[in-house]
Amino acid sequence: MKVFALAAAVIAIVAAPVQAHGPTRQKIVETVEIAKPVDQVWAIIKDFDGLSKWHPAVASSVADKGNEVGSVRKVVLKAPGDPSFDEVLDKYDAAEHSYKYEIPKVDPKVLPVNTYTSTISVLDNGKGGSTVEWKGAFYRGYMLNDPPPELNDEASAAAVRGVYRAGLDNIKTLAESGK
Amino acid sequence: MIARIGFALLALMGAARAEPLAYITDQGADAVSVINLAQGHIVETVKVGKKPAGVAVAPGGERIYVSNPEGHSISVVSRRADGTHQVLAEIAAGEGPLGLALDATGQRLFVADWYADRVSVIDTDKLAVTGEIKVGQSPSGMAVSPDNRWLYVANRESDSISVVDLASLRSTAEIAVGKAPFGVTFDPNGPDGPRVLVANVQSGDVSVIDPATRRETRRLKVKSFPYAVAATRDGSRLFVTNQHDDSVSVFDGRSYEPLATISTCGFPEGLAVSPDQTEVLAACWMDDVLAVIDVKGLKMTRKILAGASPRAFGQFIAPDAR
Repeated sequence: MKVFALAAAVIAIVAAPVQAHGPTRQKIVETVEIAKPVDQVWAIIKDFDGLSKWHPAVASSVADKGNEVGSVRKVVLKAPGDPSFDEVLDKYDAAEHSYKYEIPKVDPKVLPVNTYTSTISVLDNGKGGSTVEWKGAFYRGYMLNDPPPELNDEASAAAVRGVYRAGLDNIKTLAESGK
Repeated sequence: MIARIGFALLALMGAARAEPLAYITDQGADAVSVINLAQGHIVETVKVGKKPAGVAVAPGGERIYVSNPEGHSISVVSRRADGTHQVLAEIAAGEGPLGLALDATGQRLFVADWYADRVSVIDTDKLAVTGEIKVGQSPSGMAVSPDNRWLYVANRESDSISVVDLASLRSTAEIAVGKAPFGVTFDPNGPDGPRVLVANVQSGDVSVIDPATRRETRRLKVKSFPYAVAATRDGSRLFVTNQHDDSVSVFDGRSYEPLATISTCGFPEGLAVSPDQTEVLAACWMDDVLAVIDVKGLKMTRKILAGASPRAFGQFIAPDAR
């Protein structure tokens, strides 16, 4: 019996560091209501390389293949040291005013997420205006058990929510000021 | 007189039972939504353990088992004669219980423990863990052969399937598949005999395994991050949920010819064919709905509201489609 307990303990220790998907996937859905028609709002966000034009935290967002699926944009943030990461366009549907992209890999100090995918869409709100919906799916920044506080589920969700809120609120400002 | 009342009751129960039900694990609500598929809406919400994901409906539909990865437990739900549900027990089950599978009799429940690289065996009469089977790294999806002799376990971090002998409860073979296998389905009606179908999340494909030779015989390319595979009872159609592509891939089950990629809703995951074989149901984690696809027309015909963040990983339909 003692031998079994020891074996179990050893297995537990050896097994712990290899876990890659233990935590539960997080989901963030943020929206903003804009008193402008879909086409006008879509025009602001439709270009995959146009992120820096509407997101206040982004310094540049150059993409290698525009709005073609597979296009990679390099997102450089307005922060000391110019932190950056790549995003890849997975789906683009101009008729539905929607596109989806992912982050293959990002330093958790820049954005505390893993296996991140995101979809942004402009929907007709039925009242002559639009709803912009920004959805994200991701795992927290630390994939093993017992994450440090800055990389746990709550911190990761708060970081993504913050990115979405800042972007959405600025889309509204840009759209409604008519610039 | 008593016999007549008894008969009437049985008839009533039969009528209630005839309407197919979907048991959807709502990970964001710590609950299971019971969806009446004929009525097209939730008829009951049953609170279970923390962050439920896996589900297995027992033959006959009187018991429903749910894995709670963050509650480190299995919730045992009972369906009463009047059609309502109650939680009978919550059984402690290792470190990260995820995938579930029942043996053909419903007497043994197998629980894949993601963190401990083992499968726990639960006796469904005693409602207690009675054994453990060592498998590969991060076991997830599982399926039992209809002859009740073999359990197939996807080892997500080992890129393999463990074949467990259900008489000795030991892993007797390991079959190499694609990268990061997750959902596992046993289909007795492949064109060349039985087959095991495995969704490989990271390589974006499906492995077809011949259980007789224990070899992968074919690889079907699908879209980004496939999660689970379902086959119609006659094996004529195969369906695959693509989590990152928000779609379901469809193949001819005999020729393996790709037939369609159906846009559904965000993050389709758990997948099953309805008991009457006319519809395929996919739980969409992102959008909190169950997508309903017409098997013949290969189109999404409706969406049924589920609870928060549905996973439905496993056999979630009653009565069992097989």
